Amino acid sequence: MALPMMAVEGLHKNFTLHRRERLNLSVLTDVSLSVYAGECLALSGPSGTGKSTLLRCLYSNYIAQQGRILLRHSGEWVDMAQAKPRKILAVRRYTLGYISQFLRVAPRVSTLDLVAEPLRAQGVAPNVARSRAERMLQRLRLPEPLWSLPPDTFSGGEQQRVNIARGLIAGFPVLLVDEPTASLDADNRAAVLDCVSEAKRAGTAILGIFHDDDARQALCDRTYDMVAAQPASCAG
Amino acid sequence: MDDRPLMSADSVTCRFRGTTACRDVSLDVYAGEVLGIVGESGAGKSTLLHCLAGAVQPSEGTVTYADAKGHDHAIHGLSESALRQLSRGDWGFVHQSPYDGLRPHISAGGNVAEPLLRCGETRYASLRAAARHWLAEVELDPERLDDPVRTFSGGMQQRVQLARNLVTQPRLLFLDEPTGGLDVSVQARLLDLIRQLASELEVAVVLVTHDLAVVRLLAHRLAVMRQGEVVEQGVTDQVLDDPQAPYSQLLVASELRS
Ligand SMILES: Nc1ncnc2c1ncn2[C@@H]1O[C@H](COP(=O)(O)OP(=O)(O)OP(=O)(O)O)[C@@H](O)[C@H]1O
Ligand SMILES: [Mg+2]
Repeated sequence: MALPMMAVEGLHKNFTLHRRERLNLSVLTDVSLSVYAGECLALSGPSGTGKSTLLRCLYSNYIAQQGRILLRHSGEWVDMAQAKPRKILAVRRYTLGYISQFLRVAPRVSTLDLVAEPLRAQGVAPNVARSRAERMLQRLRLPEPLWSLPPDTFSGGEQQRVNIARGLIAGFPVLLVDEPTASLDADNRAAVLDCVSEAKRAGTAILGIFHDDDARQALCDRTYDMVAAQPASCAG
Repeated sequence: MDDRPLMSADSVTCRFRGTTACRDVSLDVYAGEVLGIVGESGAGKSTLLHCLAGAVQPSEGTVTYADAKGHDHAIHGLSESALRQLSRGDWGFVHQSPYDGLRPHISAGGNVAEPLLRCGETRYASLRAAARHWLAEVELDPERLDDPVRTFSGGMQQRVQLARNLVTQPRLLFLDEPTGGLDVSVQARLLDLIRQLASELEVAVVLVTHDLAVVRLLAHRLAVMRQGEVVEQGVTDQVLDDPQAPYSQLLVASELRS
Protein backbone atom coordinates (compact mmCIF):
# COMPACT_ATOMS: atom_id res chain seq x y z
CA MET A 1 0.00 0.00 0.00
CA ALA A 2 1.43 3.35 -1.05
CA LEU A 3 2.01 6.11 1.48
CA PRO A 4 0.10 9.36 1.38
CA MET A 5 2.68 12.09 0.79
CA MET A 6 0.41 15.09 0.70
CA ALA A 7 -3.04 15.75 2.08
CA VAL A 8 -4.96 18.96 1.51
CA GLU A 9 -7.94 19.53 3.79
CA GLY A 10 -10.59 22.22 3.39
CA LEU A 11 -8.36 24.73 1.65
CA HIS A 12 -9.71 28.21 0.96
CA LYS A 13 -7.92 30.92 -0.96
CA ASN A 14 -9.09 34.41 -1.65
CA PHE A 15 -7.30 37.55 -2.70
CA THR A 16 -8.05 40.83 -1.01
CA LEU A 17 -7.06 43.59 -3.39
CA HIS A 18 -6.47 46.59 -1.17
CA ARG A 19 -5.83 48.84 -4.12
CA ARG A 20 -9.23 47.95 -5.61
CA GLU A 21 -11.38 49.04 -2.70
CA ARG A 22 -10.49 45.86 -0.88
CA LEU A 23 -12.16 43.76 -3.55
CA ASN A 24 -12.36 40.18 -2.41
CA LEU A 25 -11.78 37.43 -4.98
CA SER A 26 -12.58 33.94 -3.87
CA VAL A 27 -10.56 31.46 -5.93
CA LEU A 28 -10.47 28.21 -3.94
CA THR A 29 -13.34 27.03 -1.78
CA ASP A 30 -12.94 23.94 0.31
CA VAL A 31 -10.39 21.99 -1.69
CA SER A 32 -9.52 18.58 -0.24
CA LEU A 33 -7.34 16.01 -1.92
CA SER A 34 -4.47 13.67 -1.26
CA VAL A 35 -1.60 12.34 -3.32
CA TYR A 36 0.20 9.07 -2.71
CA ALA A 37 3.79 8.06 -3.36
CA GLY A 38 4.24 6.91 -6.95
CA GLU A 39 0.95 8.44 -8.04
CA CYS A 40 0.08 11.31 -10.36
CA LEU A 41 -3.03 13.37 -9.75
CA ALA A 42 -4.12 15.82 -12.46
CA LEU A 43 -6.00 19.04 -11.78
CA SER A 44 -8.58 19.72 -14.44
CA GLY A 45 -10.92 22.62 -15.10
CA PRO A 46 -11.32 25.60 -17.42
CA SER A 47 -9.01 28.57 -17.44
CA GLY A 48 -9.27 30.71 -14.33
CA THR A 49 -10.64 28.02 -12.01
CA GLY A 50 -7.60 28.25 -9.76
CA LYS A 51 -5.42 25.32 -10.84
CA SER A 52 -2.19 27.31 -10.78
CA THR A 53 -3.32 29.13 -7.65
CA LEU A 54 -3.75 25.79 -5.90
CA LEU A 55 -0.24 24.67 -6.82
CA ARG A 56 1.17 27.98 -5.61
CA CYS A 57 -0.67 27.64 -2.30
CA LEU A 58 0.76 24.16 -1.84
CA TYR A 59 4.26 25.50 -2.46
CA SER A 60 3.53 28.32 0.01
CA ASN A 61 4.10 30.82 -2.74
CA TYR A 62 0.54 32.00 -2.01
CA ILE A 63 -1.01 32.18 1.44
CA ALA A 64 -4.17 30.14 2.02
CA GLN A 65 -6.68 31.67 4.43
CA GLN A 66 -8.09 28.43 5.72
CA GLY A 67 -7.38 24.72 5.70
CA ARG A 68 -4.39 22.44 6.03
CA ILE A 69 -1.65 21.42 3.62
CA LEU A 70 0.01 18.40 5.11
CA LEU A 71 3.26 17.20 3.64
CA ARG A 72 5.38 14.29 4.70
CA HIS A 73 8.77 15.94 5.27
CA SER A 74 11.65 13.81 6.57
CA GLY A 75 9.38 11.42 8.36
CA GLU A 76 6.97 13.91 9.94
CA TRP A 77 3.88 15.77 8.81
CA VAL A 78 4.31 19.48 8.23
CA ASP A 79 1.34 21.78 7.71
CA MET A 80 2.60 24.19 5.08
CA ALA A 81 -0.33 26.52 5.74
CA GLN A 82 0.95 27.09 9.30
CA ALA A 83 4.69 26.52 8.90
CA LYS A 84 7.20 29.25 9.70
CA PRO A 85 9.26 30.63 6.81
CA ARG A 86 12.35 28.65 7.83
CA LYS A 87 10.37 25.42 7.80
CA ILE A 88 8.87 26.24 4.42
CA LEU A 89 12.36 26.79 3.03
CA ALA A 90 13.55 23.47 4.47
CA VAL A 91 10.57 21.62 2.98
CA ARG A 92 11.34 23.17 -0.38
CA ARG A 93 14.99 22.23 -0.10
CA TYR A 94 14.44 18.55 0.68
CA THR A 95 10.88 17.46 -0.02
CA LEU A 96 8.84 19.59 -2.34
CA GLY A 97 9.68 20.52 -5.93
CA TYR A 98 7.72 22.93 -8.09
CA ILE A 99 8.02 23.21 -11.84
CA SER A 100 6.37 26.50 -12.64
CA GLN A 101 5.36 27.65 -16.08
CA PHE A 102 8.15 30.15 -16.36
CA LEU A 103 11.80 30.09 -15.50
CA ARG A 104 12.77 32.77 -13.00
CA VAL A 105 16.45 32.65 -12.15
CA ALA A 106 19.52 34.67 -11.31
CA PRO A 107 21.29 36.34 -14.22
CA ARG A 108 24.84 35.42 -15.12
CA VAL A 109 24.64 31.87 -13.77
CA SER A 110 25.29 29.10 -16.29
CA THR A 111 22.51 26.66 -17.12
CA LEU A 112 24.57 23.80 -15.75
CA ASP A 113 25.02 25.54 -12.39
CA LEU A 114 21.34 26.48 -12.28
CA VAL A 115 20.34 22.88 -12.76
CA ALA A 116 22.92 21.69 -10.22
CA GLU A 117 21.75 24.27 -7.67
CA PRO A 118 18.99 22.23 -5.95
CA LEU A 119 21.53 19.46 -5.33
CA ARG A 120 24.16 21.93 -4.10
CA ALA A 121 21.57 23.30 -1.68
CA GLN A 122 21.25 19.80 -0.24
CA GLY A 123 25.00 19.69 0.30
CA VAL A 124 25.92 17.48 -2.67
CA ALA A 125 29.55 17.99 -3.77
CA PRO A 126 29.98 20.38 -6.73
CA ASN A 127 31.44 17.84 -9.16
CA VAL A 128 28.78 15.23 -8.38
CA ALA A 129 26.02 17.81 -8.72
CA ARG A 130 27.42 19.03 -12.03
CA SER A 131 27.70 15.61 -13.56
CA ARG A 132 24.14 14.77 -12.55
CA ALA A 133 23.06 18.08 -14.06
CA GLU A 134 24.82 17.15 -17.31
CA ARG A 135 22.99 13.84 -17.48
CA MET A 136 19.66 15.53 -16.80
CA LEU A 137 20.19 18.13 -19.53
CA GLN A 138 21.23 15.41 -21.93
CA ARG A 139 18.07 13.43 -21.28
CA LEU A 140 15.98 16.55 -21.79
CA ARG A 141 17.77 17.08 -25.10
CA LEU A 142 19.17 20.50 -24.33
CA PRO A 143 22.04 21.07 -26.80
CA GLU A 144 25.40 20.84 -25.06
CA PRO A 145 26.75 24.18 -26.37
CA LEU A 146 24.04 25.89 -24.31
CA TRP A 147 25.04 24.39 -20.98
CA SER A 148 27.64 26.99 -20.12
CA LEU A 149 25.32 29.93 -20.93
CA PRO A 150 22.76 31.61 -18.70
CA PRO A 151 19.29 30.73 -20.05
CA ASP A 152 17.92 34.26 -20.44
CA THR A 153 18.54 34.19 -24.21
CA PHE A 154 17.10 30.68 -24.68
CA SER A 155 13.89 29.89 -26.56
CA GLY A 156 10.70 29.30 -24.59
CA GLY A 157 10.97 25.53 -24.99
CA GLU A 158 14.63 25.50 -23.96
CA GLN A 159 13.91 27.56 -20.86
CA GLN A 160 11.05 25.26 -20.01
CA ARG A 161 13.35 22.23 -20.15
CA VAL A 162 15.91 23.99 -17.92
CA ASN A 163 13.06 24.58 -15.51
CA ILE A 164 12.05 20.93 -15.63
CA ALA A 165 15.63 19.79 -15.15
CA ARG A 166 15.85 21.94 -12.00
CA GLY A 167 12.61 20.48 -10.72
CA LEU A 168 13.58 16.87 -11.33
CA ILE A 169 17.27 16.77 -10.48
CA ALA A 170 17.00 16.50 -6.71
CA GLY A 171 14.49 13.64 -6.80
CA PHE A 172 12.03 15.42 -4.51
CA PRO A 173 9.48 13.03 -2.98
CA VAL A 174 6.63 15.41 -3.91
CA LEU A 175 6.44 17.35 -7.14
CA LEU A 176 4.08 20.09 -8.33
CA VAL A 177 4.04 20.71 -12.08
CA ASP A 178 2.25 23.43 -14.02
CA GLU A 179 1.85 22.55 -17.71
CA PRO A 180 5.33 21.12 -18.16
CA THR A 181 4.95 20.34 -21.86
CA ALA A 182 3.11 23.48 -22.93
CA SER A 183 5.69 24.99 -25.27
CA LEU A 184 7.35 21.82 -26.56
CA ASP A 185 7.39 19.95 -29.86
CA ALA A 186 6.60 16.22 -29.99
CA ASP A 187 10.14 14.90 -29.46
CA ASN A 188 10.88 17.19 -26.56
CA ARG A 189 7.49 16.50 -25.07
CA ALA A 190 8.26 12.79 -25.16
CA ALA A 191 11.62 13.37 -23.48
CA VAL A 192 9.99 15.36 -20.68
CA LEU A 193 7.23 12.80 -20.17
CA ASP A 194 9.84 10.07 -20.03
CA CYS A 195 11.75 11.84 -17.25
CA VAL A 196 8.61 12.64 -15.26
CA SER A 197 7.35 9.03 -15.62
CA GLU A 198 10.66 7.80 -14.34
CA ALA A 199 10.35 10.01 -11.25
CA LYS A 200 6.87 8.63 -10.71
CA ARG A 201 8.07 5.03 -10.96
CA ALA A 202 10.75 5.91 -8.43
CA GLY A 203 7.97 6.84 -6.01
CA THR A 204 7.51 10.57 -6.45
CA ALA A 205 4.01 11.83 -5.67
CA ILE A 206 3.00 14.19 -8.48
CA LEU A 207 0.27 16.80 -8.57
CA GLY A 208 0.05 18.57 -11.88
CA ILE A 209 -1.72 20.55 -14.54
CA PHE A 210 -1.39 18.99 -17.99
CA HIS A 211 -2.96 20.67 -20.94
CA ASP A 212 -2.34 17.98 -23.55
CA ASP A 213 -3.96 14.56 -23.66
CA ASP A 214 -0.62 12.81 -24.39
CA ALA A 215 0.74 13.97 -21.09
CA ARG A 216 -2.38 13.12 -19.17
CA GLN A 217 -2.56 9.66 -20.67
CA ALA A 218 1.10 8.94 -20.11
CA LEU A 219 1.24 10.10 -16.51
CA CYS A 220 -2.01 10.54 -14.69
CA ASP A 221 -3.78 8.03 -12.48
CA ARG A 222 -6.60 10.21 -11.21
CA THR A 223 -8.15 13.58 -11.87
CA TYR A 224 -9.32 16.29 -9.49
CA ASP A 225 -12.01 18.37 -11.17
CA MET A 226 -11.75 21.94 -9.92
CA VAL A 227 -15.35 22.77 -10.80
CA ALA A 228 -17.15 19.61 -9.71
CA ALA A 229 -15.23 19.21 -6.47
CA GLN A 230 -15.86 22.68 -5.08
CA PRO A 231 -19.11 24.33 -4.01
CA ALA A 232 -20.67 26.14 -6.95
CA SER A 233 -19.94 29.62 -5.59
CA CYS A 234 -16.32 29.52 -6.65
CA ALA A 235 -16.38 28.08 -10.12
CA GLY A 236 -15.52 30.76 -12.68
CA MET B 1 20.28 23.76 9.26
CA ASP B 2 20.93 25.34 12.62
CA ASP B 3 17.72 26.60 14.10
CA ARG B 4 19.10 29.08 16.53
CA PRO B 5 19.28 32.58 15.14
CA LEU B 6 22.65 34.27 14.94
CA MET B 7 21.01 37.59 15.71
CA SER B 8 17.57 38.51 17.02
CA ALA B 9 15.92 41.87 17.34
CA ASP B 10 13.18 41.89 19.93
CA SER B 11 10.68 44.79 19.87
CA VAL B 12 13.27 47.35 18.85
CA THR B 13 12.21 50.99 18.78
CA CYS B 14 14.54 53.87 17.87
CA ARG B 15 13.46 57.42 18.55
CA PHE B 16 15.38 60.54 17.63
CA ARG B 17 14.32 63.96 18.82
CA GLY B 18 10.64 63.24 18.59
CA THR B 19 10.59 61.13 15.42
CA THR B 20 10.39 57.38 15.59
CA ALA B 21 12.73 55.89 12.99
CA CYS B 22 11.74 52.33 13.77
CA ARG B 23 8.99 50.98 15.94
CA ASP B 24 8.60 47.64 17.65
CA VAL B 25 10.68 45.66 15.15
CA SER B 26 11.32 41.98 15.79
CA LEU B 27 13.28 39.78 13.42
CA ASP B 28 15.78 36.93 13.32
CA VAL B 29 18.88 36.38 11.23
CA TYR B 30 20.28 32.90 10.55
CA ALA B 31 23.61 31.53 9.31
CA GLY B 32 23.74 30.91 5.56
CA GLU B 33 20.59 32.92 4.99
CA VAL B 34 19.94 36.30 3.42
CA LEU B 35 17.28 38.44 5.11
CA GLY B 36 16.07 41.28 2.89
CA ILE B 37 14.57 44.48 4.27
CA VAL B 38 12.65 46.62 1.79
CA GLY B 39 10.59 49.79 1.96
CA GLU B 40 10.61 53.29 0.53
CA SER B 41 13.25 55.80 1.53
CA GLY B 42 12.68 57.10 5.01
CA ALA B 43 11.02 53.86 6.12
CA GLY B 44 13.71 53.33 8.74
CA LYS B 45 15.67 50.59 7.01
CA SER B 46 19.13 52.05 7.53
CA THR B 47 18.40 53.05 11.11
CA LEU B 48 17.34 49.50 11.82
CA LEU B 49 20.49 48.15 10.18
CA HIS B 50 22.72 50.45 12.22
CA CYS B 51 20.83 49.45 15.30
CA LEU B 52 21.37 45.74 14.58
CA ALA B 53 25.06 46.47 14.05
CA GLY B 54 25.30 48.21 17.41
CA ALA B 55 25.97 51.68 16.03
CA VAL B 56 22.61 53.13 17.02
CA GLN B 57 21.21 52.69 20.51
CA PRO B 58 17.56 51.59 20.58
CA SER B 59 15.15 53.50 22.80
CA GLU B 60 13.42 50.25 23.63
CA GLY B 61 13.94 46.57 22.92
CA THR B 62 17.02 44.39 22.63
CA VAL B 63 19.30 42.95 19.99
CA THR B 64 20.91 39.63 20.86
CA TYR B 65 23.88 38.07 19.10
CA ALA B 66 25.01 34.46 19.52
CA ASP B 67 28.80 34.27 19.14
CA ALA B 68 30.74 31.36 17.62
CA LYS B 69 30.89 29.63 20.99
CA GLY B 70 27.12 29.87 21.32
CA HIS B 71 27.15 32.59 23.99
CA ASP B 72 24.41 35.20 23.75
CA HIS B 73 25.26 38.90 23.98
CA ALA B 74 22.76 41.72 24.37
CA ILE B 75 24.78 43.94 22.11
CA HIS B 76 23.59 47.28 23.37
CA GLY B 77 24.69 46.37 26.86
CA LEU B 78 28.25 45.57 25.81
CA SER B 79 31.23 47.72 26.64
CA GLU B 80 32.59 49.76 23.77
CA SER B 81 35.64 47.54 23.43
CA ALA B 82 33.62 44.31 23.45
CA LEU B 83 31.32 45.71 20.78
CA ARG B 84 34.30 46.88 18.72
CA GLN B 85 35.73 43.40 18.88
CA LEU B 86 32.51 41.89 17.52
CA SER B 87 32.09 44.45 14.80
CA ARG B 88 35.71 43.99 13.70
CA GLY B 89 35.96 40.24 13.88
CA ASP B 90 32.48 38.79 13.54
CA TRP B 91 30.61 41.33 11.45
CA GLY B 92 31.04 43.26 8.24
CA PHE B 93 29.19 46.37 7.12
CA VAL B 94 29.00 47.41 3.47
CA HIS B 95 27.82 51.00 3.11
CA GLN B 96 25.74 52.45 0.34
CA SER B 97 28.52 54.80 -0.67
CA PRO B 98 31.99 53.32 -1.09
CA TYR B 99 33.38 56.51 0.44
CA ASP B 100 31.69 55.70 3.75
CA GLY B 101 33.31 52.31 3.85
CA LEU B 102 36.70 52.86 2.23
CA ARG B 103 39.71 55.10 2.59
CA PRO B 104 39.96 56.55 -0.90
CA HIS B 105 43.56 57.77 -0.74
CA ILE B 106 45.12 54.46 0.26
CA SER B 107 45.63 51.49 -2.03
CA ALA B 108 43.01 48.82 -2.77
CA GLY B 109 45.22 46.26 -1.07
CA GLY B 110 45.62 48.51 1.96
CA ASN B 111 41.87 48.92 2.20
CA VAL B 112 41.28 45.20 2.06
CA ALA B 113 44.06 44.27 4.48
CA GLU B 114 43.38 46.95 7.08
CA PRO B 115 40.67 45.05 9.02
CA LEU B 116 43.08 42.13 9.39
CA LEU B 117 45.76 44.44 10.67
CA ARG B 118 43.33 45.76 13.25
CA CYS B 119 42.54 42.20 14.25
CA GLY B 120 46.21 41.73 15.08
CA GLU B 121 47.78 40.30 11.91
CA THR B 122 51.08 42.16 11.45
CA ARG B 123 53.06 40.06 8.98
CA TYR B 124 53.37 42.06 5.79
CA ALA B 125 53.45 39.01 3.51
CA SER B 126 50.25 37.53 4.99
CA LEU B 127 48.43 40.84 4.72
CA ARG B 128 49.40 41.18 1.07
CA ALA B 129 48.47 37.59 0.32
CA ALA B 130 45.07 38.02 1.97
CA ALA B 131 44.44 41.23 0.05
CA ARG B 132 45.32 39.52 -3.22
CA HIS B 133 43.13 36.58 -2.43
CA TRP B 134 40.05 38.66 -1.59
CA LEU B 135 40.50 41.02 -4.51
CA ALA B 136 40.45 37.97 -6.76
CA GLU B 137 37.41 36.59 -4.93
CA VAL B 138 35.44 39.71 -5.78
CA GLU B 139 36.67 39.44 -9.35
CA LEU B 140 39.12 42.33 -9.29
CA ASP B 141 42.58 42.13 -10.81
CA PRO B 142 44.99 41.39 -7.93
CA GLU B 143 47.68 43.20 -9.91
CA ARG B 144 45.93 46.44 -9.03
CA LEU B 145 46.73 45.83 -5.37
CA ASP B 146 48.83 48.97 -5.07
CA ASP B 147 46.55 51.34 -6.98
CA PRO B 148 44.78 53.96 -4.86
CA VAL B 149 41.15 53.00 -4.50
CA ARG B 150 39.96 56.42 -5.73
CA THR B 151 41.24 55.45 -9.21
CA PHE B 152 38.70 52.59 -9.38
CA SER B 153 35.19 52.87 -10.88
CA GLY B 154 32.13 52.93 -8.60
CA GLY B 155 31.30 49.28 -9.16
CA MET B 156 34.90 48.29 -8.54
CA GLN B 157 34.99 50.34 -5.35
CA GLN B 158 31.90 48.49 -4.12
CA ARG B 159 33.72 45.25 -4.76
CA VAL B 160 36.76 46.51 -2.85
CA GLN B 161 34.42 47.39 -0.01
CA LEU B 162 32.95 43.90 -0.12
CA ALA B 163 36.45 42.36 -0.10
CA ARG B 164 37.40 44.54 2.86
CA ASN B 165 34.41 43.19 4.71
CA LEU B 166 35.07 39.58 3.85
CA VAL B 167 38.76 39.45 4.70
CA THR B 168 38.10 38.78 8.38
CA GLN B 169 35.65 36.02 7.38
CA PRO B 170 32.70 37.50 9.25
CA ARG B 171 29.76 35.42 10.41
CA LEU B 172 27.33 38.25 9.76
CA LEU B 173 27.30 40.80 6.98
CA PHE B 174 25.20 43.98 6.89
CA LEU B 175 24.61 45.44 3.44
CA ASP B 176 23.03 48.88 3.02
CA GLU B 177 21.91 49.38 -0.60
CA PRO B 178 25.13 47.75 -1.83
CA THR B 179 24.24 48.22 -5.48
CA GLY B 180 22.64 51.68 -5.31
CA GLY B 181 24.04 53.98 -7.96
CA LEU B 182 25.57 51.20 -10.06
CA ASP B 183 24.41 50.47 -13.57
CA VAL B 184 22.44 47.33 -14.20
CA SER B 185 25.13 45.00 -15.54
CA VAL B 186 27.57 45.93 -12.78
CA GLN B 187 24.75 45.41 -10.28
CA ALA B 188 24.07 41.92 -11.59
CA ARG B 189 27.72 40.94 -11.21
CA LEU B 190 27.94 42.24 -7.67
CA LEU B 191 24.68 40.59 -6.65
CA ASP B 192 25.72 37.30 -8.11
CA LEU B 193 28.95 37.55 -6.18
CA ILE B 194 27.15 38.26 -2.89
CA ARG B 195 24.80 35.36 -3.52
CA GLN B 196 27.65 32.95 -4.11
CA LEU B 197 29.67 34.14 -1.16
CA ALA B 198 26.71 33.94 1.20
CA SER B 199 26.00 30.35 0.33
CA GLU B 200 29.60 29.15 0.12
CA LEU B 201 30.88 30.92 3.22
CA GLU B 202 27.69 30.24 5.23
CA VAL B 203 27.49 33.84 6.40
CA ALA B 204 24.27 35.45 7.53
CA VAL B 205 23.40 38.51 5.49
CA VAL B 206 21.05 41.37 6.28
CA LEU B 207 20.39 43.27 3.08
CA VAL B 208 18.66 46.63 3.00
CA THR B 209 17.44 47.85 -0.36
CA HIS B 210 14.53 49.57 -2.03
CA ASP B 211 14.94 47.37 -5.10
CA LEU B 212 12.55 44.40 -5.18
CA ALA B 213 14.41 42.73 -8.05
CA VAL B 214 17.49 42.61 -5.84
CA VAL B 215 15.73 40.88 -2.97
CA ARG B 216 13.94 38.50 -5.26
CA LEU B 217 17.34 37.37 -6.42
CA LEU B 218 19.19 37.31 -3.13
CA ALA B 219 16.95 37.10 -0.11
CA HIS B 220 15.54 33.92 1.38
CA ARG B 221 13.25 35.84 3.69
CA LEU B 222 11.90 39.34 3.40
CA ALA B 223 10.64 42.04 5.73
CA VAL B 224 8.66 45.00 4.38
CA MET B 225 9.01 48.26 6.31
CA ARG B 226 6.79 51.28 6.26
CA GLN B 227 7.12 54.36 8.45
CA GLY B 228 9.41 52.56 10.83
CA GLU B 229 7.32 49.43 11.21
CA VAL B 230 7.63 45.97 9.73
CA VAL B 231 4.25 45.54 8.07
CA GLU B 232 4.88 42.05 6.73
CA GLN B 233 7.57 39.39 6.72
CA GLY B 234 7.89 35.91 5.27
CA VAL B 235 9.44 33.79 2.53
CA THR B 236 10.57 36.24 -0.16
CA ASP B 237 8.58 34.92 -3.12
CA GLN B 238 5.44 34.70 -0.98
CA VAL B 239 5.69 38.32 0.15
CA LEU B 240 6.30 39.49 -3.41
CA ASP B 241 3.78 37.26 -5.21
CA ASP B 242 0.95 37.32 -2.67
CA PRO B 243 1.51 40.40 -0.51
CA GLN B 244 -1.04 40.67 2.30
CA ALA B 245 -0.54 44.12 3.77
CA PRO B 246 -2.00 47.06 1.83
CA TYR B 247 1.41 48.73 1.73
CA SER B 248 3.17 45.60 0.41
CA GLN B 249 0.58 45.34 -2.35
CA LEU B 250 1.25 48.94 -3.30
CA LEU B 251 5.01 48.39 -3.29
CA VAL B 252 4.81 45.31 -5.50
CA ALA B 253 2.36 46.98 -7.88
CA SER B 254 4.58 50.01 -8.35
CA GLU B 255 7.55 47.74 -9.01
CA LEU B 256 5.68 45.97 -11.82
CA ARG B 257 4.92 49.26 -13.50
CA SER B 258 8.51 50.47 -13.56
N1 LIG C 1 -1.56 36.99 -7.23
C1 LIG C 1 -2.86 37.11 -7.57
N2 LIG C 1 -3.55 38.20 -7.21
C2 LIG C 1 -4.84 38.32 -7.54
N3 LIG C 1 -5.55 37.41 -8.22
C3 LIG C 1 -4.91 36.31 -8.62
C4 LIG C 1 -3.53 36.09 -8.33
N4 LIG C 1 -3.17 34.90 -8.84
C5 LIG C 1 -4.28 34.38 -9.43
N5 LIG C 1 -5.33 35.22 -9.29
C6 LIG C 1 -6.69 34.98 -9.80
O1 LIG C 1 -7.11 33.68 -9.45
C7 LIG C 1 -7.94 33.12 -10.48
C8 LIG C 1 -7.41 31.73 -10.86
O2 LIG C 1 -6.21 31.86 -11.59
P1 LIG C 1 -5.28 30.63 -11.94
O3 LIG C 1 -4.07 31.17 -12.61
O4 LIG C 1 -5.07 29.84 -10.72
O5 LIG C 1 -6.17 29.81 -12.95
P2 LIG C 1 -5.84 28.49 -13.79
O6 LIG C 1 -6.90 27.51 -13.46
O7 LIG C 1 -4.45 28.06 -13.56
O8 LIG C 1 -6.04 29.00 -15.27
P3 LIG C 1 -5.26 28.62 -16.65
O9 LIG C 1 -5.82 27.31 -17.08
O10 LIG C 1 -5.67 29.75 -17.56
O11 LIG C 1 -3.80 28.59 -16.37
C9 LIG C 1 -7.92 34.12 -11.60
O12 LIG C 1 -9.11 34.87 -11.54
C10 LIG C 1 -6.73 35.00 -11.32
O13 LIG C 1 -6.89 36.27 -11.83
MG1 LIG D 1 -2.67 28.01 -14.84
